[in-house]
Amino acid sequence: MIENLKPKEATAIVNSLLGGVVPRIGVQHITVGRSEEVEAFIRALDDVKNGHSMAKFWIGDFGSGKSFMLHLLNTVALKQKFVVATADFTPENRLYSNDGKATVLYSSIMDNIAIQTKPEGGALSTLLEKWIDQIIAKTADENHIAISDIRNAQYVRLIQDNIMKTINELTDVGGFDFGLVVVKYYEGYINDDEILRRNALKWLKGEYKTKTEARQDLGVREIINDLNYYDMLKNFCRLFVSMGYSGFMINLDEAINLYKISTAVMREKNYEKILTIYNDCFQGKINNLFINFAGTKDFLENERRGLFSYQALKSRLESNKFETAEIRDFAQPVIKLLPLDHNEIFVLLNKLKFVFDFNYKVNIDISDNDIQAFMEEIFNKPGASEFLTPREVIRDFLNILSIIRQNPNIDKRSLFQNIEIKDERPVELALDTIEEL
Amino acid sequence: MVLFVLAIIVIIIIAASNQKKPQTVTKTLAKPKPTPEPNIRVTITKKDESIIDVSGQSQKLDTSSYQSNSTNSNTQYYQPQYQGYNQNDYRLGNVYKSKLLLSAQEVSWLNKFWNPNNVFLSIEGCCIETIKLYLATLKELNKHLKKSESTIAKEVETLLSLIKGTYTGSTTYWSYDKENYEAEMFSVIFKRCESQVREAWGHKRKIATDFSNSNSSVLIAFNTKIGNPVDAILKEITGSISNPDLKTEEQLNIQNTSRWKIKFDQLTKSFVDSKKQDFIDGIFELEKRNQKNPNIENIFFESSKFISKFDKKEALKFYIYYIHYDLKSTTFDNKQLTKTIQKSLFKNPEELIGFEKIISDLIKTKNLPLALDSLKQIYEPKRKKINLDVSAIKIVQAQDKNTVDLLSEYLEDEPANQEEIALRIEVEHQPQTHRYFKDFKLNDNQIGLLNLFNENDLNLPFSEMDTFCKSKSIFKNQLIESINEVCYDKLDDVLIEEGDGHYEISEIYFTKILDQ
Repeated sequence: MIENLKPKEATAIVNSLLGGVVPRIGVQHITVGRSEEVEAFIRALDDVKNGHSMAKFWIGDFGSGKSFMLHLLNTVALKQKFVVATADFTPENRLYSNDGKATVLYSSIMDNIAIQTKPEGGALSTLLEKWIDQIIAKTADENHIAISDIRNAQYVRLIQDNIMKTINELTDVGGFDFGLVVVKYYEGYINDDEILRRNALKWLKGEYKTKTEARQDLGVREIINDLNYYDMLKNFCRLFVSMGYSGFMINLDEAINLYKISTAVMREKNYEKILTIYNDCFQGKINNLFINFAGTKDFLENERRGLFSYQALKSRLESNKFETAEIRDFAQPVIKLLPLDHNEIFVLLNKLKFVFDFNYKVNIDISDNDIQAFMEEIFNKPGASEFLTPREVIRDFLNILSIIRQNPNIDKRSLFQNIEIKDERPVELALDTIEEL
Repeated sequence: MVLFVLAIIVIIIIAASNQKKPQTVTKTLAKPKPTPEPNIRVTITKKDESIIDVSGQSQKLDTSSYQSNSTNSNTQYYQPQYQGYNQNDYRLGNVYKSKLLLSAQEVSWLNKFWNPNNVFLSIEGCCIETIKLYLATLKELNKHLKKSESTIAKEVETLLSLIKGTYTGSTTYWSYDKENYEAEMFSVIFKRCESQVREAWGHKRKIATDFSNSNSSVLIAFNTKIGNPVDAILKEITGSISNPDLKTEEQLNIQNTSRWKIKFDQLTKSFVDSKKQDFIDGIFELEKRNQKNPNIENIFFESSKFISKFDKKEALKFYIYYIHYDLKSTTFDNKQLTKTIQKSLFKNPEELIGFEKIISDLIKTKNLPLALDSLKQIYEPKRKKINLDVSAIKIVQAQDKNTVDLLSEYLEDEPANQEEIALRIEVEHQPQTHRYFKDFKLNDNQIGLLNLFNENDLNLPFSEMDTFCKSKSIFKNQLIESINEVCYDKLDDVLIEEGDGHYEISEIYFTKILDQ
């Protein structure tokens, strides 16, 4: 029996997990075995809401649930009125570069900005308009102008000045151009100039490649580039908080791509950027910013190429020496995700059986012993020890439930025996064969 | 007179025995103690030229009473008559005439030289095979010489004449040396045959097969008439050398501890993955033939290394045999397979640990069949038993319940903060009366847009939305966002969704937001 399970959540859980993805709603019902991790990030989230900043590193092997945890963070943070942005590190983007790859990462973050009412991303324009709307209301209030009149043409200048003033108050570096671009966005809106609005958004997303182009389109001198994008992210963070949001959460997955950078100097520069972010967060240089990195053990601990190759980070990120597999410390910046044990998987499958029954209003004939038999079968399949992940266990289990629902007389044991598992790990070169330049 | 003659005869006999005896004794010492055949008579079959006539008379010694009844004039030796012992019994012809049913000619050929003695020929199988080849070679040589109307005996006689012409020693000793030269010629032929057998049977140690004579014309003549034809014949008939029997091989393998490598190389070179059983059988055949080889364990170590690329189980089996024989050897080396081979043999640490256990048990118990039997399961997928712990499950469930509660609390919609409320109060200036849920506190623009949706069957094209927002001088995205935000608490979902060229509201959701 699961308390508080809503029908909509049950449907989302079953459909999403059958498709191998994390459900958008009801995710709290499938966090079995991650209680301490959840408590740790809830505490962190509360801290960030209260004005602190945080950098967390989610470390685990393939299939250990890093992406699931980031998704859960995302969902909870959206509900907690955070602006959330997610991006994956790829060979084409990184934190530091001098060939535009850092700007690509920034663009990817800005493209994926999500809020509760726009969880799928692309919320930058909505946020911008919301903020301008607030400035308009504030201007009307400050100048004792009726809210119905403030949008009249004679007050445009007043609103523009207020935008610039507020932006200058909020921002550190690059505030003037930032403010100017927001004013351009507002101009585009009141003059019904869609191109101007798009260009302003293009600038804010870091999509201008040259200053000349930006000057021609918007009349600004600067563009967002590899060197200043992090300042812009901090500016946005302040802007979102000023709008009433709890904070700005940035989730960066697949950090192994930083480990794979073949040039030692470039890799070190990227780790230096992580150190800057880490220091900003924990030294109080920025408020309400929550940055999460997810990567494998190699990314963190490899002394030659991982974060531990950078001494300043190693000393900050090393595990509490008193921590063991049984006695964990989740208050550290690094949270290691251990694989779920059999008892936890059993509880998870048991819950899923209930969710399935609840969703289809049936009572599938699967007992605890059947679940145990299913587990025994799937964990004994060839390759299970190397690449079987909870994602696949869950998907196969739900598929079997689905077959039994539609064919109640089918032999369950033969279904269990027919399971085949596949290696779903990304096809890539072995990490230790990466060429060092 | 009679006494004088007798005295001379005694002196002559003593002188003769002083010359011959030391050699005879030396050769006798080199031989194992024989069991002489009965009825063998030692006789002087030839006039002894070392006898010096000191009588001053022309009367010759009557040696007719010493005439041998033997047909082989070449085997005339002076032999002292010891009771029950005849050193000629140990010449190869005499030794093997019964065993190999040799003809008189064959016996004669084999008796031409002293029984050669070395470790190779000490193995009876090797000696017999060499004898067979020697006799076959001589027969072929005879056939070859017959073409030029000659025989081996004639050629030997010619060569002896040639040697005599160059002989620098005392004529007194020619008779003795002549026999030695003759023996040397046959011995060289025999050694060349032995050399072929050694090579065919993989006996590494070589022997000298050259005819030794300081005179080059003699050497050339020997090689022309005998040496070269023998070599040519051997080249042709070497293929007739049969394989050594098991007993002989065992002995050969004791003498050459790495002799197995020849066969092993053949097996590896001819290895075909589809016929790996041939290789395996070959290795066990080698095992059989190397039972007395002190290095037998290395056969299995090398086999294990080789087959590891093709058959993991056989590789482990061979390694077990290696350990088995290593334990029996004088020093237990316990050589380990390389890390690369280990990696290819064991997919996971469990397999390695399992095999290490088999080996440590073998070392302890020395029980080969048990180790081989245990090996059968090494690659069998081990069925993991899923052991569930009821108390642990209860703990997980309790923790999970707490987590769900905690997350549910955080996933509940928060009340809007005070700042936003204050802002909205100003925006929501004198709201219209409307039919939507009163708690929403919608402003005029929001109500207007919802009404517009209602009038358009809950489906509004982008253009109409733009027109509406422009008419009100408000941001489109902001208007939609504000309505969605207000309704989210009740719907737990987005009310206005973007479609292909239009915005839409679900009918169910629209019904839900009506004030009922």
